Parts: sequence; C-alpha cells; structure tokens
Amino acid sequence: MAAVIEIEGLRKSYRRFRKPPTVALDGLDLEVPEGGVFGFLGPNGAGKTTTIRCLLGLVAASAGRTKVLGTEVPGGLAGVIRRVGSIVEAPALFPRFTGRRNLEILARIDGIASEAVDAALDRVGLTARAGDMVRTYSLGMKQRLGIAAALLKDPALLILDEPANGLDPAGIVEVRGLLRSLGAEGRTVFVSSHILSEVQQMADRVAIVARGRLVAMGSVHEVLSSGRAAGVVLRVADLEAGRQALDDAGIAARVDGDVLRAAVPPAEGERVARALAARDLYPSLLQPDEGNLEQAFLELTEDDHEVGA
Amino acid sequence: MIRLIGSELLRFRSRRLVVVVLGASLIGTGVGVVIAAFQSTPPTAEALATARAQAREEFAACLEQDWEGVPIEGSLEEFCDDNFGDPALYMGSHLQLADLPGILEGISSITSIMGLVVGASVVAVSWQTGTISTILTWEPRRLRWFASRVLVIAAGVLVMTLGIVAFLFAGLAGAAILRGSTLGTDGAWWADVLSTSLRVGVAASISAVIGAAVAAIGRHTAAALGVVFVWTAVIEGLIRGLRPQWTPWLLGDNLVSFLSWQTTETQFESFASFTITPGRALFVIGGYAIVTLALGFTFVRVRDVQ
Repeated sequence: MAAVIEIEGLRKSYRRFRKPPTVALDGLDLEVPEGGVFGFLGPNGAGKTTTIRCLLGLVAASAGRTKVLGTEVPGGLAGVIRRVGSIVEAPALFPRFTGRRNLEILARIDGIASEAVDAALDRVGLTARAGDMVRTYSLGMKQRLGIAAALLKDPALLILDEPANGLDPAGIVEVRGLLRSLGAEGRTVFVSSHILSEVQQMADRVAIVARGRLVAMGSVHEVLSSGRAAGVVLRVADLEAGRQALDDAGIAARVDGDVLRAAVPPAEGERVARALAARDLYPSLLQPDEGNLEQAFLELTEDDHEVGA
Repeated sequence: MIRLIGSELLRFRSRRLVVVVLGASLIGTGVGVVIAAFQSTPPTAEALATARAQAREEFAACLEQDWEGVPIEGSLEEFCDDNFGDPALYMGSHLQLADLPGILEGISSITSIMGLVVGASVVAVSWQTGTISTILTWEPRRLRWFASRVLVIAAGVLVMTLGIVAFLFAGLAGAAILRGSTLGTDGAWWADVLSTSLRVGVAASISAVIGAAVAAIGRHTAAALGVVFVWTAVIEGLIRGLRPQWTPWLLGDNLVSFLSWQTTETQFESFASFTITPGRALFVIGGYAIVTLALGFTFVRVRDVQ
C-alpha cells in the first residue's frame, strides 16, 4: 500500500528572544498509508498542528523531509495541493461573508463550478444557511463549512485538524459518519484529534505523538495493546467477593466500576474462572482487557509535558 | 493566475470596508456638491455679458502694455489670454466648472488615504481572521497569491477613485449648469481634467499598494496605517526640518509635485535649492511602492503562518 504522507526526521523549533528555542517537533517519523481514516493523536503541545502546518507548507520545517502524495513538500506542494483538502485548527473563513460566498471565493481559485459548491454545502447539511453570514454560524456550523471547503476539491487526501471541535453529539456522529464514508470511498482521511473515543470509533490506523516525537503507530488494536500490561476484565454478581477470591488465588485484581480487572495474561483466563468457581462465583463477562485508546494514550504519553504548538 | 485574480476580485468587492468606503465617499461627494450648488449665486445673462466685455477689455489692455523685463512663456497673445482673457475672472462668487482640476487635486489627499486604508485592510484582514491559512492551502505559491492580491487592490482602488471622480464631475457639471457657469471648459480644460483625474487615481492606487505592502509586514491594519502616518507626518516632517537637502526624496513632497504636475523649486539655504519635476516625482513615488512591495513580498514568503 503506497504512503500518501511520509515524514522523516521532521524537526521544527521556534527561536525566542534571549531564551532557548522552543522545540515543537523533534525528529518526527510518520507514514500514512493510502485509503481509510488515520488518527493522529497527542496531548496539547505534542506537535500535531505543527506537523499539519509543515505538511501544508504553512510553516517551514527546521529539518527533515516530508512527502505528500509522493511529492516532496513544500517544494512540490503546488503540484499536489489540488488533491489535498484541509482544515487547520478552526476553519478560517471570512466572518462577514456568507457561507456560500466563502466557498465561491475558494472554488474560483481552482475553477471549480458552482454546482460543486452546492454539492459540498448539501453534503455537510448547510444548504439552508448558505446565504447567512458566517459570523452568525455556531462553532459546529463553521466546522461543517470548513469540511465543505475541504471537500470542494474532491480531494484524494483530507487533512483535518480537530474536525469535531465544537460539534454537538449529533454533529459528532454526523461528522464521524462522513469521515468514515470518505475513507471508505478510497480517500485518505488524516484526522488529528484529542477526542480519543472518536478516533477509536472511526480510524483504521493511529499514530500517537508526544513531545514532537512518534511514540506509537499502527492499527488501533496494535496501539491499544502496546504500552500497557495485558490482563482480563470480568464481571461477577459480587465484585468484592470476586476480588477476594482472585486475591486468595494469587491473582492481583481491582474493582473498576462494575467490572473487575485482573492482572493476568488473557491466555490464563481459565485460571481466573477456576478461582471464581471455587467460591461459587460465575462470571457473566470474561474477556481480554484491551482497555481503550484513552488509556493507551495516557500510558504512552505519560510524563509528557507541553513543549510546543 | 487569472483564476486567482478572479477569486481575489470577488473577495475584494465582497469586502464590507470597500463598500462602506465607496458609499461614504459618494455620499460625501454628493453632499459637497449640493452645498456648493446652494452657495453659488447663479450668474445672470447680464453679468455674463459684462464679464465677457471686461475680459475683452483686459485682454486688449494686456496686449498694449509694455511687458519688458517680465518673463513670458509663449506668445504675448497666449500670455494675455491665460491671465486676463477668461470671463470667469470677472464674475461674482459662483460655482465654476472650470475649477474642477483644482478641486480634484484637493480631494486627492482623501482618495489617497482611502486607498491606503483599503490596501492595508484587504491584506491584513487575512492574517487577522486567520484566513491566510485557508488561502495558502489552495494556492501555496505565496508570491503568486500576494502579487494577485496587490494587483487587484491597485486596480480596485484605481476604479473606485475614478468612480468617485466621475461622480464628482457629474454632480458639479449638473450644479454648474443649473446654478453656476461652465465658462472656460474648452479642449485644454478637458485635457487637464482627464490628466488630473488619472493622476488622482494613480496616487490613490500607489497609496493602496504601499498600504498593502506595509500590512503584509505588520499583519495588522492599524499597525500598517500607524507606520505610514508616522512616516509621512512625523519622520518626513523631521527630515524637512533637520535635513532639508533630503526633501526631494520624501514621499509627501513628491506626491504634491506629481498631483499638481508642476515643477516645484524650493530654496532651503542661501546657496542651495532643489527642484522636483513631475516625472521625477513619479519615479520617486514608484520607488517607494517598489521598495515597500519588495519588503512585503519577502515577509510573506519567509515567515511562518501560524
């Protein structure tokens, strides 16, 4: 599978007056395969937005190489930008122009027909408000207009920085569905987000960055299982009695909400079941404890601190 | 490039500031014309005949007079006609369409400030609203984008200024026909009106380009306007006082010479003077625009967009 984004040793530091430079990216390596949704995660200041700005030629990297759709950027960006749709941070649009006028201005740069503007507005559900000034839009509507602008080019690669920001739950579900469908169409959707549960639900692959470096990359399943101890999660009628039974059997366990988490490899699940059955406790749930992306994220970026934009 | 210019043109004419500035200029012009019309005492046919008769007399007297020692350019007839033969010189206070070139020169400072504000605002707003990120993800060739925008600003301000001039001309012509006089509006006057209009338009356009270039450096409208005003009002004033020999290179003095299309000669010490010809003035003003544009281009190209 060809890579649509290739980043090698990307470094970006900002000079500061009489202070040591701020390092936003510290030798980032990343490869995003073609097709599907790719989640780009990291705590605030990890370098996500700086990476996106470097990819789009908005910020000049201090060192390293970046390729978008097989072309070196920023040098060759003009040749591929027609196939790249993007939102960087909040969608930046003219607040005193209507939503339609904003899209028309962009469409005119590439000679895109006005029918495409209508189609993009329709796809994000903004047709009814297209004639209103953007400053009257809610944050969610601005996000949707930003996505419409990114879709205008009918891009092969979408680079979206926090596209679900400010959306209400219904909007989040809608955008999630939209991005999934775009990924399913064969486009590559590169999404940075701090809403980890969202990324978990829509991404095929993820990368986690911290302090300007890559700390994990792979399928969601691979990343979930990296950086954390294996275990099993189980549910019994009496959680405290279950915990005691496992403890007596030499298995460390703790109550976590309405489940028990036991520190034992999933392959030894039978041992857990036997220990519980010996006390007349029968689990209604017993499965490998994969946790969620949020836990993996926190563990992988533990001790991280803010270092840049 | 054509599509980019088309996009910039659409953005330019959609800007509220452009609409407001143009609307306010037209309203101001209209109000001025109405006031001038009401203050004008319409010349009667009798007053007009008297003025014509007086002009003929003065012209004849001029031809008879001994002008020895007085430098006269061209023939004596031309000199007398220019200085004594215009009937408008001998009429009471009333609106004279013949004064239009002078009025146009008078409004040039307002149209130049208008150009400066529009130029600075149209460039700086992209940074102030963050839309520069969006634009550059559609056209990453920054110089191409900036050149398109500056071109649209220069052309847009030129058209706006010529529109204001045309509106002023139409208003004053109507007012002069109804309540003033149109005497002296001959072929030479038309040529003067056209060339002055063009110069007023070019001056506003160059001001807009300078405003745009400075805004590209400061990325803020108010900062750009502040820098230009400090330069023209404070620094140039100090230079005139402290280093008068540098005055021929100042923007303000060259603008005055260019707009009036007259050579200005100023004695600044008992033994030294300087001359600014209109052509030289245009060269110096153009130089200011090119230098600020080069700086603006450099800043746009080199600086990160956050």
